[in-house]
Formats: sequence, structure tokens, C-alpha cells
Amino acid sequence: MIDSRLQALIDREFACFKENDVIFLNTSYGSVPPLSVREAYKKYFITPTEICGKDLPSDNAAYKEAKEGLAAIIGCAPTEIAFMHSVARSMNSFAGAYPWQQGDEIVMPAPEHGANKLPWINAVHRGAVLKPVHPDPATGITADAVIAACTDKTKVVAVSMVQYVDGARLDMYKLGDFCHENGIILVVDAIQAIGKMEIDVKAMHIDFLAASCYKGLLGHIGGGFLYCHDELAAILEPEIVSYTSVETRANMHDPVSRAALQYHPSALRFESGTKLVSSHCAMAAGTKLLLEIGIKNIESRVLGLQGYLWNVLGALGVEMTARGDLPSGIVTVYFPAEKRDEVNALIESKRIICSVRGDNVRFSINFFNNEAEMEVLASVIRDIKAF
Amino acid sequence: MFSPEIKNLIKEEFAALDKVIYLDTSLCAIPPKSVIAAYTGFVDEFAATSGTGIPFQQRMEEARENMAKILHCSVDEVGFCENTTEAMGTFAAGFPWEKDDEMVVATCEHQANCYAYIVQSKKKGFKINWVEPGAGGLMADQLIAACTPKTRVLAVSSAQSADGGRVDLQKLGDFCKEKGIYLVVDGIQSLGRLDVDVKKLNISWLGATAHKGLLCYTGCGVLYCDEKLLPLMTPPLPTYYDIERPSDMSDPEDMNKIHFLPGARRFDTQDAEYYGIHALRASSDLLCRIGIKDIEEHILRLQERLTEKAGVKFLGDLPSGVIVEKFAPEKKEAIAAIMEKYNIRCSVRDGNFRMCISFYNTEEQMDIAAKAILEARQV
Repeated sequence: MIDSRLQALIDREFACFKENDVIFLNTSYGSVPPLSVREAYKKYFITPTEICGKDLPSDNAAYKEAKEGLAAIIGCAPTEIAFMHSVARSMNSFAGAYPWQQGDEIVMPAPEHGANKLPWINAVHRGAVLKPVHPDPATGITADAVIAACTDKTKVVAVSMVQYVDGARLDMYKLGDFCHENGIILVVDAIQAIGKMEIDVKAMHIDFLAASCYKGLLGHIGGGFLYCHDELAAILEPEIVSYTSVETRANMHDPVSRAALQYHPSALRFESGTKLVSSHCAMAAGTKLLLEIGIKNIESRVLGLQGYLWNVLGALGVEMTARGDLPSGIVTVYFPAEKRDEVNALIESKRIICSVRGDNVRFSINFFNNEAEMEVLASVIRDIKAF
Repeated sequence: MFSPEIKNLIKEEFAALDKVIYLDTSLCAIPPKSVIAAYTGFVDEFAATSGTGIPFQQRMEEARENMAKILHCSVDEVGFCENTTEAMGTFAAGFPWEKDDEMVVATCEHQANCYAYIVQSKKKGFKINWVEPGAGGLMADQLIAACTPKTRVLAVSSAQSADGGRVDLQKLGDFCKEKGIYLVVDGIQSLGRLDVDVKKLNISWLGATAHKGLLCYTGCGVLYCDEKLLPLMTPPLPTYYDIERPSDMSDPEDMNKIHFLPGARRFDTQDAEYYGIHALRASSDLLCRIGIKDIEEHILRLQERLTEKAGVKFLGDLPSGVIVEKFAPEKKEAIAAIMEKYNIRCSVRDGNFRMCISFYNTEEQMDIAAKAILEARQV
């Protein structure tokens, strides 16, 4: 329940939307960081010049706080988290490090985002086979459809918890149980879900998860993380390695020490070189805000607003089709591609910020939206559907 | 020699460092005013326009154009990465190694320019010939002597992180060109400070994070891939930004139809850390405006002055603007106190201190640094 204190906090943090007089429905594309996250970035950018490089603040505080915040959000230990700059980089870390055998199958929804698609070329080069799951035109991707595509050769299921195009959300408990029972590694692109939907990597039997910080985690583009439990980390040999990936730094002058280079036993083996510290500061501030509001509250608020939108649309006589197993707060409306300019003009006239692409427009509801905005959105959806 | 106009520009840009002698760019830069403004301006502008007002791609390409000028290469040979580790790792993982291949690298290299080869030699079976530098630091001749007919790659830093030693890259590059060896360079200690002309030096691959001579913060870096090397490389960290036709990706079964972007854009591993690249555009603008040749000339002239006043010796073939003085580890506190007394920011480490001269340093500052060095020797 978001009480009046939390609502006041949300209003303060996201005052820029009111100031800009916009309805922001574009978190699925990229967040506009709230006030406290913007301040965290700026503090990091300004501090070194203010102190002329003297006693530069330790990066460790933000690093630690961000990992603790992320761990609390996905239900793991901070040591199971490694900072990466993007989802693609995280997925590359897995695909390039897994000991693939000829004919190993990777089951993946066909409409996955490129960040969870291109990296798997590393696996294909090593003999693995990608098995696409094509969405049902009516329901989109579901856990059952992914499960049905698995065979005894399936080593990995790589899915987005929430699809980026149509917002279809998979039943991760069902999929996780199946993968766990069948010895399949479950790899999840969580970028469209994290910070908005509840995630429990242990209860959902997720083995590897990736997300960037610039959507539901409320930061800017640049920065993100992966989750990998120790048992899986132990069999993954990273492609990109530096002093931060190993337990003890090798003495390069000593051939024995060089040969004995040992990766960290945990997800830390994937961290390599100097880091994007500003993103740690942002994730520390962003997760702090999210945890103060509560992910349960946020999910409930997002889905509550989606339900409200559905009701208003119903009253307007507009029928919406649910995608996936569960709602996600992402609503995609299709239109004839040649009407794109008209759709853009309509959206601009209502000062809505969202993603208009090809033949569809994606609205992403977040916890800072409200019922009045849903009513405006409902009228816009009705008009788009009439094109 | 900087013109009065450039001198004023530098003074204004680095006004925050007025009260100290900052000699620690080898550790990290204190970004100039315009770069800080680029970082903070990005955050403000993004919020003020609800994320719709910044032309990301255009600014990324402007940063790429500036970096091409700094490196003296084509804009199509510049890629963006997170850091040196990722750039060197991209080379080591993407190069078409054969089992009998050999490569040469020195033991004094930073881990960012070592671990990648150790890991890939284990995976792919090529041999590393390690070079142990002598008392005078790493020399080009030592690296050349370690090459055999099987050597395909020679990896070296343009200036060493530990001791500032600078190899004669021209000599190495000429040798590598003659022998058909790929010269791979960790450029972090020199990019933005020394004139690294990748074409003249016959460098095939170069990587550097932008948080030292390129005057930004950590998290954003550049790589250079020579157009002749490019067709041989397989991008090991592919992402959707790197391919020519995203429509190829409508179905995972189309994986074999992927067309990577022409040029080094295929190595852009960033999920575009836009504010970092936005800042790199500002810093590279500034560096281009001042002129890399003039920057190098200024830094080396200041080093000569320091040498004259304090008898500082450099290691390797050539001076780099980075000097390192050794001392007994137990004197660390006393040495740090001397640096503090003179308001000098430098890296005081166990057993040595490192001073890195930058273009915003002055002759007067070198005279004070010389005093501090002479005093440190008396501890």
C-alpha cells in the first residue's frame, strides 16, 4: 500500500514530469531518473573537482550499497551479483563462458530483444543450436510454450521475464520449476521487469539474470548487473578477465603465479577492469528509493493502474487482449503502419511520452503514474484503435 | 608552445586545480570544467526534456570523429568500450589465433594488458613469450629480440603504468610491419597526453579507458582497430548496436545471416553509456582545440625542466611525462607528508611515488615538484 507519506515522496522525486507537463509512460524505453538519483550522479561528477583530487571518496561505499540494494530486490546474496555495463554484456558473459557441446539446445522466444539474442551467436559458434519459440498471435509468449519447446538436449532456456515489444510476462515460477526439475539452466533478461515486478531468483529457480539500470532501476543508460549463483559460476570461464576477476593478482614476473591465475569462485569473476562508478552511485540511490516504497507496493500499484485502464477502456467499449501469462504494466497497441504520423500527432497532443515504433505504440505504466493519467491514456488508445 | 588564447582556455578549464599541483593523471583525471558540465548537463537536460531532448547517436558520432583526429585514423576505425580490459580482451578473444602462434608481451605490463592473453592462450593454445625488462625499464629492442618467425602479435603499453617507461613505438611499429606482426597497444597512459599516431606507428589495435589523459571518469573507453586487421576479427561481445540490419534478428534462426557493421563500430560494446560518451565528446573537443602535438611538446618540456632541477631519470626508450622515484617502503608516510606540504597530488605507493605531468601543469609547478623530489630523497 502506497500511503500518503510514500505518495509525497514519489511526487517529490518525480516532480519533473509535472514541471514538464507530460504523462511519462516510457520506462520500458528508458527512465527519467528521479531527483535522488540525479543528485547521486551529480555528486559523483562534481566531488573530485571540489576537493581537487584530495582524499577522493572511496568507490566502495556506492559499490557495496548498490549490490545490497540489488540483492534485496531480486532475493540473492550481494556476492552473487557482478556489475556489468549492459544486458548484452551480461548475456555475452554467459554465452561466451559456458562449456558448450555440439548440439546443445538453447530455447528462446523468437521476439527476444537483440541484447538477449546477438550474444548467443557465441554459443552457435561453439556448436550450440538456437530453438526459437514463436508467439501465439493471440496470447504472445507463455511459459507453457517455452516448456513445450524444450527437449532432452536443451541446456539453457533464455527468456525475458517481460517481453519488450508486447509486455507479455511469463510465469517464472512455472518455468523455473520445470527448468529446475529437468536440469536446464534458466537465464533471464529482467530489464523490463526489475524495479516494477517482484523477482525472487531463488524461488523462481533463476540461475543467471541480467538487467541494466536505466529502466525500472531508475538510472541512465550505462551500467547494470548480472546475478549468477556460485554453483553455476564455477563452470563458467569468462572471456574478458582482469585484476578484478581473480582472487589474488598474479605476479607477472613469476611464471608459476601467471599459470596459476584463478578466477573468483563467485559472480565476481565477470567483473573486469575499471568500473562505471557513477552507475553504482545511481543504483545505490535508485534501489534505496525502490526499497523504501517497496517492490510489492510498486507491482501492486502498476498492476492496479493497468486494471483501472482496462476498466476505463471496457467502459469505452474498447476490448484489450492480455499477453503472456501475467500482466506487466506494459500495454502495446497496434495500428496500420501508414497511420504512424497520425498516431504520433495524437500522442504529442496529449503530451504523452511513450515508444511509437513501426506498427505499434508501447505504453509503460509505472508507480509514479496515476488514475487521471490512465483516463487520458484510455481515450488515446481508443482513438488509435479506431485508426 | 601554447598561444595566450590557449593558455587562458586551459586556466579557465582547470580553475578547480588552482590551489594544488595535480600530478596524478596516471591514476585518474580531474575532469576540466567543460567535461563536468557535459556530465551534469546531460543529467539536467535529460530530466528537463523527459528523456527526449538529447541526440545520442549524433553526439556519439561526434565523439568518434574527435577520437579519430586524436588517433590519426579513420572514423570507421574507432569503437567504444567500457575500459582497457574490455578493449584488450576483445582483441585477445576475437583474434584468429592458431595453435602454433606466438605472441610477445612484457611482465611489467598492467594486468589489463596481460590477463586477456593468459586466458586466451589457455583456451586457444598459442604461446606467450614473456619479456622481463632490465633495470633501465622496458626497451623496444628487448621486445623485438623476443620475436620469432611464429610471432603474430606483440602487445605493449605506450607508456608503462608502473614506472612511466615508454618504448620507442616507431621502432616497434616499423619492425612489426616488416615482419607481419600485429602491434597491439594499451594506450591508457598516453592517449590525450602524447601524440599517438596509429598509422605512422603501424599500430593494429589500441585500447584505452577515458579516465586518465582523456579527462573523463571511469566507465567509458575507446578502441582502435586498423582496417586491415578488421576482417580477421570476430566480435566476441556482440550486441544489437553492432549489426547492420537489426531486421536480421527477427528470428534467432537467422543468426547466420547477421551482418556486422562495417568498421570498428562492430566492437561498440557499450549499451551506449551515453553520458560518458557525451563527456568524451567534450573532452576530445578540448584536446583537439589545444592540439595533441602541442600538449606532448608542453609535457615533455616540463619533464626536461624537472630533470634539470631534480635530476629525474626516465625509464624505457623515451620520456613519457610520467616519472617514478623509488624509496624504502617504510618512508611512505614521510614522503606523503612532503607531498602534502607542497600541495602536490601524486601517487605515493609502497616503495615509490609516481608523478604524471599534464598539459595544465606549469614551469613553476615543476620547480616546486623538483623541490619536493629533492626533499623526498633526503628522508
